[in-house]
Amino acid sequence: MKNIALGRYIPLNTPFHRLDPRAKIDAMFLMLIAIFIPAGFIGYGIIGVAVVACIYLAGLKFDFIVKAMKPMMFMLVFLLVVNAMVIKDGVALVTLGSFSIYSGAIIQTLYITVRLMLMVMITTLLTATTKPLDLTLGIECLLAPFKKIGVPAHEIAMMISIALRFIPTLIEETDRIIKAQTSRGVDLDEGSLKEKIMAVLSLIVPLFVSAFQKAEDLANAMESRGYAPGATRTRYKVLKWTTSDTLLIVGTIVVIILNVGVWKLL
Amino acid sequence: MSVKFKNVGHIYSPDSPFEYVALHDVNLELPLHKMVAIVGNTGSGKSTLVQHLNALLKPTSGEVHINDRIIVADEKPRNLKSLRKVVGLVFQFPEYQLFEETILRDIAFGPKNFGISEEEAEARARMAIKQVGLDESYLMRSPFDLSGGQKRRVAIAGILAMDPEIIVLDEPTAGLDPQGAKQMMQLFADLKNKHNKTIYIVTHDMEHVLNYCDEVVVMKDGRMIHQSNVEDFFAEGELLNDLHIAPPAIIKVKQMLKERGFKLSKANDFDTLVKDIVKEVRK
Amino acid sequence: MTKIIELQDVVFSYDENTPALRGTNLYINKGEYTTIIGHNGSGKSTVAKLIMGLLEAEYGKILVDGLEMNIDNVYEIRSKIGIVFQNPDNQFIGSTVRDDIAFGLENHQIPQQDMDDLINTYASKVGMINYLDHEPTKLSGGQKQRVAIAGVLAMHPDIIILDEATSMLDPLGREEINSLVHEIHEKNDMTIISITHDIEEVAMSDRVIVLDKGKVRMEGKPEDVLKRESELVSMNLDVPFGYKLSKALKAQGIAVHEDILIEEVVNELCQLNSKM
Repeated sequence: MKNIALGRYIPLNTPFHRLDPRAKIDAMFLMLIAIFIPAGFIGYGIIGVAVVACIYLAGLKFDFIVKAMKPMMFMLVFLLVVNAMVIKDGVALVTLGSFSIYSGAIIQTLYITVRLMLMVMITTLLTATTKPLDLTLGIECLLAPFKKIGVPAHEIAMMISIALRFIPTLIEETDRIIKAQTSRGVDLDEGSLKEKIMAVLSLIVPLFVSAFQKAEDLANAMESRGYAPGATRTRYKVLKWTTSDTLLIVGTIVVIILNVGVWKLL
Repeated sequence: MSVKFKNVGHIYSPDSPFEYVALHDVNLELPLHKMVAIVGNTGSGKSTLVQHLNALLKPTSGEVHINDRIIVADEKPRNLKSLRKVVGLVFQFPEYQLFEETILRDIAFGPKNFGISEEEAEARARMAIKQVGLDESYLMRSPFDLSGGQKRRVAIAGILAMDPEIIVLDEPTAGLDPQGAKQMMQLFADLKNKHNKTIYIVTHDMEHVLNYCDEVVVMKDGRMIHQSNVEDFFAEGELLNDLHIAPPAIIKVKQMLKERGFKLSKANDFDTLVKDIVKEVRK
Repeated sequence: MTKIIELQDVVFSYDENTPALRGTNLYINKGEYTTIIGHNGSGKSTVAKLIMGLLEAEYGKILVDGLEMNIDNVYEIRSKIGIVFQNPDNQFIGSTVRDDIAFGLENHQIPQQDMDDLINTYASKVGMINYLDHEPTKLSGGQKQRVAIAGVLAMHPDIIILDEATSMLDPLGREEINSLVHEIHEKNDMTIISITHDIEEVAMSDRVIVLDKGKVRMEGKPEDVLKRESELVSMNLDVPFGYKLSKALKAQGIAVHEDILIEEVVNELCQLNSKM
């Protein structure tokens, strides 16, 4: 539980870490757009090379990325089963009685798997190299233009930053509650459906109670330190856009153009 | 029948960037039917240590023996439920594990998980609530309507109702007022004395160690650095200093008086101290 | 003595059946180290939250540094007071030590270019200068509370409230925080209010207020209040060991004064011993 990788910040000092969070967020969105350009495996190859290069630049270990993807395994297996039943293109690879698995199903699953892998890699790249506070600052800046139409950019950013700050604490708390209930004989793996429901309840209720307690304490602490929603505040962190940031955006746009090229020409 | 740690090591998240060695080669034998205090500062490994007692954590090296059960590193233990029925573990701030609609059902939850019948579990809940100093009228109330201290009692009753032979408590009095803490400690002392239970207790409160415990185990940086009876532990001035432990007031007074030439007997009770001082001053 | 905080006939309840404060009157002197004791549920923490304007009194007046608490004054009053709560985890707002200290500065609209200096100054004052980029999960409870104190100090309050700030710490953390707070009190003439269960801390303070069932039952100098044994015992509170010992010795005919501090009892005994 404690070594969850998805969304975790890895404190290193690499060129990629030093990039402006706004650049990284923009680049992430552009890359996600690129993924949805139907440029097939070649397109994904291009994106893949770019993303792997960034991962290398960011000093992230590959097994860390693999760990971040672990939670999707179940979804992918499920996807494979559904595809195997629905897609009947290509050659039949395996035949079991009247049921066959076609190559089309495998290719389609593989395609979506690669797409999901790239998406997780890209988002992990952002969250692993950007301090939560910088991330929210970036989000706030990007949301600023929408303030005019009543989007509470600052409050949204504050909520996200606190949520991010409390993820590790809540993971620890979950770990503790699981252990406490396991000591009371709760078995999450075995037992009847009714027992399983009870087991899950015995985790969720305490977790909510404790999260609400934390929220109340935190609200008190914030108010005591002079926080008032909507009031003017100065900023400690100031974002600085540098040449590297422009380079990142340009690089991302190049990837998009290449993908569009592949889609239109091949 | 005994509780033994043989060369136990524990590493969290091995082979990852977050690798952390919490226990180094711990060798330890804990007595039964005694109250043993486990002391040490944050990060000393005491919480990791006690979580090995009901196999919530398994050693990454070495062996843990609990009665006739042996938990070995790299081996998947079977039927841990039978072990967890024998060793009841109360976590820090156990009030955060309550979840049922009524206190009765919450206390009966543990026993039922261990295969005790509904009626028997409820009978045990009735016993347990009285043991922790609340009366039966509480049973039909919601655990969430109670005060913090009462919630803690109910949570502990939930473990007592499992009727474990060994009860392990991680800082059970943290955050209670002195009176509430004393009542809690008295409860554990009764469990040991009247019900022949074994109590292992992680605590920072040296008054409690002095007044209720039989033995002390000291953890530091993942190692067991001291094990002795309570009297000898408080005689180790250097060790106490090193751990930044503020000794109980009576020990402090004795230390100060001894340094200034008073002759005092070894016993650490109030009446003996008064008698000794009177004798010395009148000499 | 100037009264820096005053509560007059304050009534507050969390719900209809359980009044927390029932017409409480108390005051805090400027520059003093005041301890507030009482068992859980006596209303100690409620007093702290009312003074901070985190709760609103149903009846009565709260005065802080001459200002009466109301919706217009609450932010100004809060800027005069810093508070350190019990749970080290639940008051750490930033993702790093640096960001956490900055949080209060941002709220107080300190210019950005001054912040680094302030952060460095106050982080060194609490001995956390080498941890500026550490995340809260990597700090011990004592370290987190030190960061909370740095965050409070950086805002130059006149008053610091400690709401059982050491009750969740290990002995090392407790020692660190206690000595840090005493140092701050002595160096800066700061008013300190410590809500505590630690009777030895009370013995060292300038003034003590004893709360019971939402009312002030005793108040005054610790050396007077802590000797009223029967009253303390009736409220389930402890008497300091020094007093217990000196009283027992006196009863045995030893010529010692009834002192609350261990050190003083020991000193007297040594004098007696050498005279003989």
